[in-house]
Amino acid sequence: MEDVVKIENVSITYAGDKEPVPAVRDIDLAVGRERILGLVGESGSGKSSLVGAMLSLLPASSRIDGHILIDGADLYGLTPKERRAMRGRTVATVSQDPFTALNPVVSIGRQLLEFQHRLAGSRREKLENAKKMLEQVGIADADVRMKQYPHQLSGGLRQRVAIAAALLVRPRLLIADEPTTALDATTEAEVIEIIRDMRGAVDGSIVFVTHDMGVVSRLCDDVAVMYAGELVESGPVAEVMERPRHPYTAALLACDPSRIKTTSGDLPTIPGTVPKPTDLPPGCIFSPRCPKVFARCRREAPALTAAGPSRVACHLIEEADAAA
Amino acid sequence: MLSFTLRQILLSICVLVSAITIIFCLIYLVPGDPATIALGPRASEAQKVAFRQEMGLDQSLLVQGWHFAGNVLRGDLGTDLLTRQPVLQLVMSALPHTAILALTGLGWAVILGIPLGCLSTIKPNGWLDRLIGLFSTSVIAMPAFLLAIYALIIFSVTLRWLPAMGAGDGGDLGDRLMHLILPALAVGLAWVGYIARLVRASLLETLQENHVRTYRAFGISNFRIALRFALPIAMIPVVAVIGVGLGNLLSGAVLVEVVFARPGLGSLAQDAVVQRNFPVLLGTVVVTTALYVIANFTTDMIAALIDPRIRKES
Repeated sequence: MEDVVKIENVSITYAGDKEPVPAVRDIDLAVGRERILGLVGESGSGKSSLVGAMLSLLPASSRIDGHILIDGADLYGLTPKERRAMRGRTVATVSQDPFTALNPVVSIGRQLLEFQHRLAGSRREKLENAKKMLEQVGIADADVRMKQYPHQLSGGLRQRVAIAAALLVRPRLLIADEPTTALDATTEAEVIEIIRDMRGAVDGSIVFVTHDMGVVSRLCDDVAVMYAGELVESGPVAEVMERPRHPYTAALLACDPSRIKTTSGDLPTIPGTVPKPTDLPPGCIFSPRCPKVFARCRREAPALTAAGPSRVACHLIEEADAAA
Repeated sequence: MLSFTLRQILLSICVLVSAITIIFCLIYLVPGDPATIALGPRASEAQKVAFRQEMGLDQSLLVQGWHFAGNVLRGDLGTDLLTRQPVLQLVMSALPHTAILALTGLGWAVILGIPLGCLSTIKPNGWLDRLIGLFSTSVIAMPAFLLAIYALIIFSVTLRWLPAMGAGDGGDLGDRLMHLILPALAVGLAWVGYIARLVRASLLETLQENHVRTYRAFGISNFRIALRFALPIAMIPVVAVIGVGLGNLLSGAVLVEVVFARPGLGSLAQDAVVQRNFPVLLGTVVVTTALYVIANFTTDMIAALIDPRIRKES
């Protein structure tokens, strides 16, 4: 299987006020061609930093170690100019907040025209393409919308426009960074529907960032679970949902309201908080919150090991292998 | 857009009416008897009474105000107490000089201030930004009249490059321009710094916004993002400040006109104050206020042209 994205030993360190902040540590991950990867984690898990690195949009003060290969090109082996040339052509993104992602004083049509700046074609053709794409993402009166400004559109419509913008450049990699978080449940379902319908328009892969396991199971082929800047489990969605091997993945799934069978007054939570990147526990990073923690976890950090079709960073896997 | 324009016009008229009422009351609180000043200390009491009667100064404030308002509506600003000329004629002959001075002063402040502000944002707190910041704060802190006097001493008296006094010969455009350079410099220099600072702050803020990240994510160059997409948004608050500041600029023009002995509303108002020539003073202030209201109307309209959210009909 040809990989569109290969992330090899990637660590991201921000220059903090007092000390460097290692926000992402040693991630190994690949996204196959025409696959949708769900990148899951709580706030502070480093998922936004990781997609920021894929988009080469991290602040200049951040340090990126390791390699990010997109379509075979080593992103951080390129010059800044070459990296920029990949944006808006090889890579496109839909951002988290549809209310601020579009320029408030430029009409929708004019913005969609600008986003196609790397593509060949006349202004008229590009405007025509923009209109067609708006219709494809389910905007009925595309002609009117093209002339309108973002404030005249609802949140759901704006996110459709943002998705249309990303799809217009026919990217090899589409990064959707929590595109449904700011939307209500009905609109969220519609947006997920659109991305599923439109996956054919992406001549490559989609990385869908979310903290919602329910969204992952409805949309994605593969899933990668991040915790406190590290990858704890990755694998095909069906496998991970059925047999979550890492206690953190299991806990995340247990917190998904749509998977809870019995009605009760309160929602399950994972006790404790995500450790700060500057104050990590020794051993396994999840050990202070893990229900299945044992002595080795507090001493030694587990490596990412294969477990069936998944890869998991947990000592329980090795213990189980040893027992078998 | 049409309803926005109509609303702005109506608002401008309300502001103008209130401002004129306040000014009318304020001016009549100024101590000093116009009759004594107009007729001299040796005029008899009977002459003064006759003068006051003729000018309507013996009537109550309310009646005078009522007459004044009616006259203003007919375009009659009263009669000069000393020369007996219509005030409107005096004001209208002075107005172009001041308008040109204020507009050139502001004009070159805008032309220089905006690029300086943009340059500052290339590397915030870099050496260029600090240099521009130092220059800006220095010129903001310098009073216009002080600058005018030093400019006069250096360029007119010592170097003899530029003329010192007056507005130049009426027919000779080149001569008039030469006479405009120093006063416009004095009026506008502080504004170069002020606009540069405003543009810097506003642009830096706009560049932090999420839609700028969207443009970057599509690989559009930082240069194009800043100038084509962020600067118009950053200019909205700056335009509003320029509108309000034009009043400031007009008062700066008064001092500069006195220093350079230029004709204009400033010199006219100054003479009127010294001579207790109330109709002329009132006429000058009314026209200045009108200018100010027009300037604000214009900047509001420019802001609405940039930002569709402002012209949104609510």
